[in-house]
Amino acid sequence: MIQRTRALFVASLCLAAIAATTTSDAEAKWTRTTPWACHIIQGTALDTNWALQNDSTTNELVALCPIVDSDYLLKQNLTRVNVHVRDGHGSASARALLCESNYTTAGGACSAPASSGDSFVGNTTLSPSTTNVWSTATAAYFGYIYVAMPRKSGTSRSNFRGYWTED
Amino acid sequence: MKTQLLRGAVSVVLGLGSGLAIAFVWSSLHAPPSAPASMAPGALAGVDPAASDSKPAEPLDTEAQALALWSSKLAEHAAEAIDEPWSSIASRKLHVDLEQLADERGFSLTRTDCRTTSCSATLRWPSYQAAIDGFSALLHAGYQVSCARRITLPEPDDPDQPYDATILFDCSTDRRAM
Repeated sequence: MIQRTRALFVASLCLAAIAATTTSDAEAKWTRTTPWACHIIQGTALDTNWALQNDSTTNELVALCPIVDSDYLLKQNLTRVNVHVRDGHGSASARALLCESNYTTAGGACSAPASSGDSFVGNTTLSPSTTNVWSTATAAYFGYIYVAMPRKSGTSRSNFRGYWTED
Repeated sequence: MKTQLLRGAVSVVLGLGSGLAIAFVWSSLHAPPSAPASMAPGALAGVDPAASDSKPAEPLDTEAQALALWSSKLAEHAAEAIDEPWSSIASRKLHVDLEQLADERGFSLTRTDCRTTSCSATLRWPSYQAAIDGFSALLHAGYQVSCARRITLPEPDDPDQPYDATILFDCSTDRRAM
């Protein structure tokens, strides 16, 4: 009898712990954003279609994209960022960097770039490392993503479809 | 029979209760902080500590804090040992890339210095305003060595004089790939 009671107690304890852990995992937060949130500083943006496309045959398209930084999702807690693009140029690459602008002084920082590679053509996801930016020490700094799309190659345009962040 | 059922029910209730309590304590200990350390009342610039009791404060920093962080980054780099041959190879590649940017962006390159996982480059702009206008290009540029990059431009006494600045590169990613 005592053994059965113990077994019931242990089983219930495990069940509760598993349920609590599962609930905790489900609390991972993420955001998904369209490129229309970004500020275009270079290139020829063609946005009449389903993605932001670069129509320039001479310049890469450069977009500066805001990230959510709130008490819901602090930027220093972000562990993964995916930037969804199509690299349409066979000898230039799409790049994405995670960056921050200093608050009180001039300056800032960016991660090492994630690149599609010069010879790659097609859809790809760029995932720059969050390791060297967006730390607790720079909580006051403003975070953004720098996205560069290659110039148009013949009729092949590169495009930028959006980005995802997760803590 | 009734006693057995009662004991069983008590075991289940106690088990669930204890499990939830343990899970709660565990998650409290391992949960990320709800606010950054710099959000502590009194550590912020322009925030009334009394007003921040009930509402979270904006995570601001002071210029002194930003400069202290920058100084610590510079000191970390300076304290690194020089690891050959990576140091020479990375310095050379970075020098080539920065020389090209210097021609395009109107600054001059004084020195590059790579150590074990980090590099620095000393640059000179014609004025502080020229540095403000030009530093972003250095943060966003593509370099042969894959590194994170950081720069801070403290305000000088005379903004019209030539302005020297240091940019730091954290190349741990590049080193891991080698």
